[in-house]
Amino acid sequence: MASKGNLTLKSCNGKEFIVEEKVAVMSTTIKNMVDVDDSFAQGVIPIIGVDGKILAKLIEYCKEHAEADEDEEVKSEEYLKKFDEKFVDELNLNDLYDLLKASNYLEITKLLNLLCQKVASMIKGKKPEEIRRIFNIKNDFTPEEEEEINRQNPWAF
Amino acid sequence: MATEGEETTILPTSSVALPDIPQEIIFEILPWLPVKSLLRFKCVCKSWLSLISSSEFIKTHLKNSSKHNNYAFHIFVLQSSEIDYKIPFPGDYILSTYSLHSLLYKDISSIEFVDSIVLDPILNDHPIQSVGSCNGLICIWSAPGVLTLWNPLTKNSRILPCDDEGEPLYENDTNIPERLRGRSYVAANVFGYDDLNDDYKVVRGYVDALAVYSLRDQTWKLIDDIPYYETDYFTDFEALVNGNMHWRRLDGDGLSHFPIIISLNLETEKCGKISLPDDLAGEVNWYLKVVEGCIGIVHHCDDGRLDIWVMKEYGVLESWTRVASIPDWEDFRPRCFEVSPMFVSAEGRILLHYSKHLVLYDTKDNAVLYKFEIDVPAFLFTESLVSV
Repeated sequence: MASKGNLTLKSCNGKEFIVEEKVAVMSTTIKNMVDVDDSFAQGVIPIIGVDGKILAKLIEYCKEHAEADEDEEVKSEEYLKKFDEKFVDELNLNDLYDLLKASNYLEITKLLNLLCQKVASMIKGKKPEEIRRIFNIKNDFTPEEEEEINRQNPWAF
Repeated sequence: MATEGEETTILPTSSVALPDIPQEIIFEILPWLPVKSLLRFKCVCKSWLSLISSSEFIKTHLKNSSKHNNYAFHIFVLQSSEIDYKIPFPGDYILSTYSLHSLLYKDISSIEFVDSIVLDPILNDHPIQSVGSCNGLICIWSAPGVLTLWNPLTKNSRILPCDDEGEPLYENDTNIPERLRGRSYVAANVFGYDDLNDDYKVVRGYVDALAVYSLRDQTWKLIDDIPYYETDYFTDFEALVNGNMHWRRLDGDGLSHFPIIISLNLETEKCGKISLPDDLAGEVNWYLKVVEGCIGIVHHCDDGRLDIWVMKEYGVLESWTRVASIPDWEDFRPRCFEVSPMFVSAEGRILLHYSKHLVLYDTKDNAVLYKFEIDVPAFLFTESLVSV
């Protein structure tokens, strides 16, 4: 069991992580659980749908940022910026995808924003048909409708 | 290992596939895209079109624009006429845009040129000047006095109602030409966002009067009964922030005269005062500037230092923050030059424009990172889908 000030998080494949409460509550979802039900603070918090590898990544991120929030002197904006850059650059596509879903579910806004910026930078130069393929989206416009929309912003192509 | 022709989940590094990503996450990603991509992606499908066109999305995108980790949506603009810095475009007035990220973090020799924006035909053929920029919109003055609000990325624009001489046309008040008769036009136009009313305002200064345009109402109105207001206060140092005009004025109790900041609410036409940071009490060598949408003060101190203050939260005295203090400013530039702080990065790099120079200063190491000459007007704007 976690000592006072610590929480135990359990991944969907049974891995347990003991983390400081201030790190865990970077997730709004966890924060709400702990606030509403005190038993979570004592026992084990199951993190549904997130495996040990991804949960470890999430904790790594939250740890850096929670410490920075606490003491600006220790970790400067510059340090965090570099950490964030390295963090997203080292992700492969699968991890990026899993982390996106996990940070969305756990409501870790800072991380979600960071990952969304990463995906945005990957897709920004693409053509509409490439975008449909990437996200598996069906084009529900008629060719005429599509042409009309594109005609309004010809310089964007 | 995948063989040719086989369906594969292993992707070449250049390609991306996120086929199972929930729509709610896709909608979190889209507001982080540049305007050009968003315009192009409107034709992806109907739900993307309606999302990207919604006012809610435009607001979220604008918010992201200003807080992007790498300042990717901040664009540095040089305004030039026939002589362009990179691309010759004779006869047209064009804006050359550069990446702010590269200005802040790269070597001076590798600053990234982004694009040339040719002004809309309506603005061509006349000398132009940029009045200011805000939330992705640029306000352009063109001879003889026509003002145009313009989003250069969506190419959406609006000419503010004016007569043949470029003077504002007041729709509902026929007395106004009479009230303005004999008053000369003082020179300055300013442009800014009114957070409280979600409106954009353009102000033109006259002797003892202000003409105020509201984009929301699409009309001009005249304010000509302003306590404290005196002609010579409308210079280049007004700050239009939060729907209030601000200017510097001498406050006197009969014994001493020290400058203070006066505000005028353009909606209610009420005047007020903005308190100065304690360090500036009794100081005289300072002027107002808008710094990233906030009231800013540039202070040339007696010991040769240059201080830059920003009121981070409008009207909150405690929020005055000294964002930069440059100890040896006088050695490196005499005080007769007005300094415009253009941008302050999270790590304390500050981009300053003065006279004909652009300077990047590191406030942590107290070092000039670079200084180079630009002899054309320069300003910053953030990408947005905001329409006029």
